[in-house]
Amino acid sequence: MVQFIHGADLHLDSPFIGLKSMPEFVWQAIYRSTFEALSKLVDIAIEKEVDFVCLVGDIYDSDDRSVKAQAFFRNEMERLNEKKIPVYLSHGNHDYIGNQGLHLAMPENVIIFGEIPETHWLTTKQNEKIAVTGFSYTKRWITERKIVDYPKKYDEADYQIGMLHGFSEGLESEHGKYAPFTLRELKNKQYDYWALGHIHKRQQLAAHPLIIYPGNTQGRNSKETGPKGCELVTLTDTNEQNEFFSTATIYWEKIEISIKGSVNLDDVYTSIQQEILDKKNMSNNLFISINLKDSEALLDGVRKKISQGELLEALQQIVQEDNFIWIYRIELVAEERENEQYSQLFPEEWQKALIELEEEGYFNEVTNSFFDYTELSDLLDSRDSLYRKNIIERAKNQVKSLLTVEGSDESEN
Amino acid sequence: MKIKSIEIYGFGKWIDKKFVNLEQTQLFYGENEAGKTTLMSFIHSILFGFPTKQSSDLRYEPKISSKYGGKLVIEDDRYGEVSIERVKGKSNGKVTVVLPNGQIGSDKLLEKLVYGMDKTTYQALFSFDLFGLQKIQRMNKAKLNRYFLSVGSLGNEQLLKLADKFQLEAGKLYKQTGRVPDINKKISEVQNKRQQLRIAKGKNDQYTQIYFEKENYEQEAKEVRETRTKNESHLEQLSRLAANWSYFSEIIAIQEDIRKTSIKNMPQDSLFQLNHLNQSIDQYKTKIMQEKERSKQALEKSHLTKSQSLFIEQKEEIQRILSTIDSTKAILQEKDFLEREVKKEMEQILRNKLQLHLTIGQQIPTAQTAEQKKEYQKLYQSILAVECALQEAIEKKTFLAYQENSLSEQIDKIESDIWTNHLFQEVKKKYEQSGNSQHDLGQSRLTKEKSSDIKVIRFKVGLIGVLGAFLAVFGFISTSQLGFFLALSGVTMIGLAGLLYSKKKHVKIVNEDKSTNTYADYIKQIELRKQWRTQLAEIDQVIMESKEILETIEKNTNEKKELINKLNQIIIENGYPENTTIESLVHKEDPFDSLRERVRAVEEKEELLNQLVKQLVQWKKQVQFLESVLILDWEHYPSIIEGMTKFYQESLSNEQKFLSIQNEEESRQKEMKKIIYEQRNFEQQRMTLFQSVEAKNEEDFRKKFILFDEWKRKKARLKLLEQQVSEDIKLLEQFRDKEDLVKQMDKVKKSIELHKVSEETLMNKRIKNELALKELEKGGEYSVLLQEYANLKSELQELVDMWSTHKVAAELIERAMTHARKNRFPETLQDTTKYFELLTKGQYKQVLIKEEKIEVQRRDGSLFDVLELSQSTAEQLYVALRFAFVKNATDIVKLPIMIDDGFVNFDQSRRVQMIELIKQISKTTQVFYFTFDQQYLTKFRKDQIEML
Repeated sequence: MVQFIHGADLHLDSPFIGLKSMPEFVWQAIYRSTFEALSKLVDIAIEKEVDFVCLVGDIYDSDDRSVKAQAFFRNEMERLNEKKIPVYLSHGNHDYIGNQGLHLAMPENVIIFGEIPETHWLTTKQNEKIAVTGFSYTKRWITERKIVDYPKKYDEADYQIGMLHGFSEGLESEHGKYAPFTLRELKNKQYDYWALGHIHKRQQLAAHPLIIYPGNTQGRNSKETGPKGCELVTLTDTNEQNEFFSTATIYWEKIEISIKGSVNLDDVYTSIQQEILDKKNMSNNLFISINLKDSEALLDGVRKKISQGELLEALQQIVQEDNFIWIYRIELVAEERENEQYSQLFPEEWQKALIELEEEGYFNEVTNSFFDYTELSDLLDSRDSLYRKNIIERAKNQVKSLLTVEGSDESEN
Repeated sequence: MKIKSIEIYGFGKWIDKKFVNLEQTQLFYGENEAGKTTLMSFIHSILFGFPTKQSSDLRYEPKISSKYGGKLVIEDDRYGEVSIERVKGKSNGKVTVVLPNGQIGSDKLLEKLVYGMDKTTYQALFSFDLFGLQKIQRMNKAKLNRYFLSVGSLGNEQLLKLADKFQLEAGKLYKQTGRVPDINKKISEVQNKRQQLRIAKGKNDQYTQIYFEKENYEQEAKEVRETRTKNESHLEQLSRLAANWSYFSEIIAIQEDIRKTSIKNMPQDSLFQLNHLNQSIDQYKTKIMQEKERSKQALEKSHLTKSQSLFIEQKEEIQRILSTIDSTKAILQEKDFLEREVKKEMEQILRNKLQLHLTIGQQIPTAQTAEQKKEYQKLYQSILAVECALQEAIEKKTFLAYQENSLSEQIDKIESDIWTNHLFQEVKKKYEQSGNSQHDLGQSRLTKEKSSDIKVIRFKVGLIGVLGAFLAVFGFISTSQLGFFLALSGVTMIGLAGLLYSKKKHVKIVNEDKSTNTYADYIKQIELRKQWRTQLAEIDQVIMESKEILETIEKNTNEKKELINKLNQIIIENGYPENTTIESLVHKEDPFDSLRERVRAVEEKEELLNQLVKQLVQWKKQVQFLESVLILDWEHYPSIIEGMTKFYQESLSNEQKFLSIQNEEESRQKEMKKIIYEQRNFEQQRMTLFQSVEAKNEEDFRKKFILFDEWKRKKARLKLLEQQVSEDIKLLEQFRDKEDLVKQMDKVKKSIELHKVSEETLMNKRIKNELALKELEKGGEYSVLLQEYANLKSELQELVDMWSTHKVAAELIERAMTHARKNRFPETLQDTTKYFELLTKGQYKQVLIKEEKIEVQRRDGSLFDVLELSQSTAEQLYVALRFAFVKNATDIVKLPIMIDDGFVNFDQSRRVQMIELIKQISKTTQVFYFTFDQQYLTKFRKDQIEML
């Protein structure tokens, strides 16, 4: 029997995306979260007295790893070293090893894979021979099929584990399609376990053998919802099983609250507070985005206050506590009841305009006046179809809602 | 849709109002405040709902009636005649739609009837008022074209306005060259943050540099440390040499020493032997000492005391005296017996003496002679005679005293009743007139006498007192029995005198004054005076006799005294007891005879006693020589005897003890001789020992032994030293002397110090670097920046998204408009041309669209840009466009047009044309025209007009 921890995408020292100002303790929780997730992972490894630990890429958030992150990581590895737990580590697209920057020396229990897939051997306390095969990124973009270079399972290995930071073809993903592979390719290698990394959403791709993306250890933006942690994998001659352990200290969540019948701000505030109260008593902090629906009865002034962020501001007045809930966004969901007068008047024309604008060329034409002139475009979301769709949807809603507003701007000049 | 009738239950000022048979073109006329706007609002409200309470629109809830709402009956192409009723209800009011077939519907059905149109859009497209035209006036030329295009293609400028608004919002968010818009600001913030982050990242390089420096320092320190360690071990070696240097020199010294000294070998135990011998000798010496001490003590014990030596000397004499002790004891007993007898006798004599009134020391009177006896007889007779005479006189004196007393009493009695002389004389004069001098004389004499009498008595008493006092003093002074007697009688006399005196004092003369004296009284007085004088005479006689008697008594007393003195003389002379009376002398036998006899017997016994004492003294003298050794009461014979006896016995036993001690001493002396011999033997042996090592004496022997011992130690030390230094000996030989070695050591030491300093410096540097590395590893700042940067990016993204949204929204509208223009404008354009021509009375023939621009062609064929049109012409074009759009929209939406005095500022001819146009339009679309302009009343048929 062999038992090990499989983690990936630690993204140490990664900032959280999509936040604005917040109280100091929330900041602190964010700063610490990725680090604490690693500490938890190490805690579990030590507690379970595992045979080894696999960390499959993207340990650090960026190629120029911060000293802090490296030092922290080294210290945590030192903890494992003290317990004589080896760590198999591969670098991913975020923390590829090609750069000239500083690399802190790691304790001797840390085995780092090189550019070409290679196999390291380990004999466990139970005298089982384990082969671990993997590779590290040496540049940001690796598009070749690295899986091809992986050897078939060695005869002398009691167990062979494949570590692969890459994209499983066929998945919907926002992540880059690096080092792509297919399930068939993996299975053909006849390994006992595939420890994958790169995709932040936890998912099991196969049961025999287990092929698992453990997801990242800590969600870092509103999209990274769901369980965040690592896998405790136990392989025996006859059985294979994995157990998930949560490591995240902060969870992101989107909730929808019906405020049907609510007229004033107080009603809305109370409904939200109630909902939040139900969310409490969890073992971690929560970052929540709220969509308010069924807002027909809401007074216009209240609506305005909500969209201008006054309600959010009020809800963000929280005291420091162990498991706090931080609401980072509140939005009124547009009513389903649409005013289609104009589109009814000229539905074809309207529809045509919508379709046209979805096209990259047209869309870019409209927005190039900014994107072409800023040096920062690389920092922003790319205007891909998803983005375009999203923006057009918002634009459509805006036109509609503005047209609906009674007595709309008559005194424009 | 055509509105056929309006029924108002209650709406604003309208209560229970009906408008029926409404025409295709319907004019509502009314002054200001007549209710035109309310009516329009009513129609809007029925079709699209009452304004909500929060709405800015007026709700027109009637203040008087409780009913709110009303009903429209319409003619719809699709459903036929439909009634729409709206009354008060939830939010927008309760709607009831009744179709011709009786089907009843609500909001949903109504929505279909109004083609899904909402109030805003309806108003935008189908309502005409002043504002639309006014806008044209305000519009700048550039916009006007688009405006017209919009109106032409979308029927209304509202969407266009919206597009403009979006553009404006986008412009507020971002300008390519601006700095103020939000995005521009945010961009610079992001850039700043990125710069900060770059700097922070630079710290990674710094880390590397510090890290390498640290490693270098460590390496250097290691090298320095190695050199130092080498030096230190060298120094250690040198130090050892230095330390051994002393050993080295010691070795040489010892070797030299050993070479020089020649020592005769001494047996290992020679010292022990010597000590053993010495010990034995000492033991014997001690023994001798002890024995000597013992014999001394014995000698002391056997020393004779004074008494013992005396005993030994006088043993025979003592034994002899001892043999006399019994006889001496007998003498002693006899002596005691005699002494007791004598004493007893003496006591008896003494007692007898006292019985015979002799004092203790008084000699016993000698026996009376016959002569003496005669003399005593004579004296006795004389005394008796005197005493008899004295007795008689005393008795007489007592009688006289009695007489005197009674007379005195009588006189006192009379005197109390007698008047005073003066009074008596006065009374006498009164009764006799003749001077009775007798009375006076008598009276005066009497007084004289009396006083002198008193004086005599006083004198006598005083005499007795003086005499008494004299006697008493004398008696007290004389110590004899007579003296005592005298004193006693003296005191008695004083007492008597005192008594008499006090008695005399009581004599008083009573003078009483009598104022009322009768003659009888006077006579009585005379009588009384007579008695008084008699009595006085009597008493004088008695006093005389008393005087005589007293003299007799005195004489006898003196005689008696003389006799008694004589007697006393005899008593004293013969040594008789004091109390011896003359009677006892005369009548009794001699009382002292037996006494004299006893005294003689005593004297004999005393003589015997003296002899015994003499014998004893004699004996004592023999014993006297023991006085110095026997401590006892030498005056007391029994104790002397006892002491003697005891002394003798003790001395005998002591003599025995002394003899035994002497024997012991003799044997001791023998023993000592033996011991001394032994001691000499050992001393001889010791001498032999000394000689064996050629020592003169013990001191010499010991010295020699010490030297030998030292020599042995040195040899051992040498061996040890040689062992220790052995490996360094060669090294030691490298240095000339110790100084040379020390110099070398100093050199090495200095080098070590230098290395230490430089190592410390390196270590400090390394520590500094380590701290710097730790600090960098904490890296809090970098994380903060990273998150801040992420946040700014998020914010920027949000702004950009908003901007994109605005842009896209604007573009959407524009695009929809463009497409609409392409699709619809051609049709609309025909109607526009038609209407425009009508409105301009044929001045303009054509409305064209050319390259996204609207152009108009005048009758003469010349083309005009809309910008070139006059204000009024532009307004006409606007109206033409709007009406054309409505007309063309009727295939989709058929709703009545509402015009609220939209063309009041049109001039007369244009207004006529306008009415003409309305009439044309009403062919396809119902038109409600609300106006306060009376001119219109003439332009319409009566049935087309509702007067409000």
